[in-house]
Amino acid sequence: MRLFLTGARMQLWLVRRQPDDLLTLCTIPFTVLMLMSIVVHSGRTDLLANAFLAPVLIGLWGFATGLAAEVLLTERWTRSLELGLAAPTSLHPVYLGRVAAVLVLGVVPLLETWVLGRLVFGVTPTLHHPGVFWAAVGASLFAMAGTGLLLAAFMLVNDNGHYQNFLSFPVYVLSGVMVPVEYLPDFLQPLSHAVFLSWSADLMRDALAPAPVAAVWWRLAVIFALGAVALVGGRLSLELTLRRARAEGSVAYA
Amino acid sequence: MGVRVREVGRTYRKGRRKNEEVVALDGLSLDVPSNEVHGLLGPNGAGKTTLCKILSTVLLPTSGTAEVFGLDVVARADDVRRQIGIVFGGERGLYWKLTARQTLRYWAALYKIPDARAKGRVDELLERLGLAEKADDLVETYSRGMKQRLHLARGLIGDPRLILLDEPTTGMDPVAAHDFRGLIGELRAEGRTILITTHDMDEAESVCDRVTLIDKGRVLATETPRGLAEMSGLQQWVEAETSVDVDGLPGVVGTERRDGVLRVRVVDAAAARVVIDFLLDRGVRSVRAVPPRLEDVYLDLVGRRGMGV
Repeated sequence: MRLFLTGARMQLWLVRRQPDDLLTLCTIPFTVLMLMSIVVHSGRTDLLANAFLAPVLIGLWGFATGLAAEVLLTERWTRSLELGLAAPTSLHPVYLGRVAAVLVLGVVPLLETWVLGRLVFGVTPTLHHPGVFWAAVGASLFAMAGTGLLLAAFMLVNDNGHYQNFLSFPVYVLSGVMVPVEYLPDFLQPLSHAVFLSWSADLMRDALAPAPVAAVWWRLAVIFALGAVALVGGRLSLELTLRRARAEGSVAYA
Repeated sequence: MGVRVREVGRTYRKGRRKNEEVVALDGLSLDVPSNEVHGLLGPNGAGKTTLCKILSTVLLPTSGTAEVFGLDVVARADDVRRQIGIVFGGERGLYWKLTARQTLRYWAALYKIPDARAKGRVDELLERLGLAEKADDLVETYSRGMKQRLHLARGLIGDPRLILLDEPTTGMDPVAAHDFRGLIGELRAEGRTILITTHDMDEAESVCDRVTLIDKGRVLATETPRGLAEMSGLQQWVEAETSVDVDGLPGVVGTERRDGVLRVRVVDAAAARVVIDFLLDRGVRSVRAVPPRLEDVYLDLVGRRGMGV
């Protein structure tokens, strides 16, 4: 736990001094304006929750794939990874802490969305089940931390921004953050069950609706479970990647 | 024994299909006793940094064995890591957007120093390395010398018995480099073992108890800087502040002038004596015999290809 907190604290120090890294947050208002315009002017207030949640979840994912996944890549470029590997401790909790710290900032889009909805369109969704909503946010952050570690390890192997960009769009589609999953072709819908964001988006949308939310614990458990799978996968993947880097001599760039 | 390396080999696969094999270390063996300052000298690509990486456990050897204080760097990597500190030269490995204090607090945690002790250890190192006044400034505002001192502080955070210094004075100005060498002396006095890679022959000559010349992944020679010069069989030099012509004297191989000083290369000590007597007889008062310098030995052994890669 100490190493996790050390990583988180260190990442927050870095982010505070590198505001450029927060540019992703500045893109959120544009997405909010775009989606809210369509929903409000078409009179589809039933899709208001979608329009609110999409920027939030896109922002969260953007952080995971952007800043979090680049944590390890930057370590490699600066040769800090080499120094870390020579330290008598496991690096996984440190990097998980760093990724998690970045994701805490992922809740900022939530606030931005609410503020813009109120200021520009005069509407905000009603939080009918706040407990469920915040539980879903918490579970999603946990799952995103696991996914962030997995992505970080993946990026270390394929240190190429193209993969990072490529991964985002299939996830946006399959998670139903942009378009409800039921609108997708039948053969794609089962795939969305493997994407934790689709469970997160569904649960959050239901928490914004007046009807009772069904199977809350089960759905939270699925989000946690998918996050845990990603976390274990990320840890193993990082372990294997670093072991391979030691064998191949690719811990640092020449 | 601080470091024991036996027949260590390391190859890399390169090329698009990884079908090209590059030999970085070719059966290298080396002993570094505890509490010795040992220099690794060699041209770019000789294998110095590769050896440091193997000793610091971040790179696996392809063959052979390496031990740090009797601990195998592969089988007991975790134990080895508690014994070592690595210091890079230049600006690699630092977080520019952290302060020196934050940097050291971060690494203190990674070296498992309890929080209660970490603060004191960090303050102590900041004070010792002359960074206390700027401890809360961002690293990016530091001069090259300060960054290097921070590197050393980082390398010392875990109180290592073996310190690996990889070209630590690269890019430093002469004053900073001089101070840094003073610190190496202090660390040796504390009983630490130091392995230093460098291109700077003066540095190696001034701080190292022994040096090892490496080329193409193999050891060419290991000796004290003076011993290496003596056993090299290179000619001696006589230096004098004069314009007297000595070219015709027996045993004189050649002469050159540098900054008003006549440098006479002679075949051996007897020939040097002849030249010195000749110059003294002609009233020259500033004359001295100079053994070959480490740089001369280095250039002789590695074939004057220090710029090669």
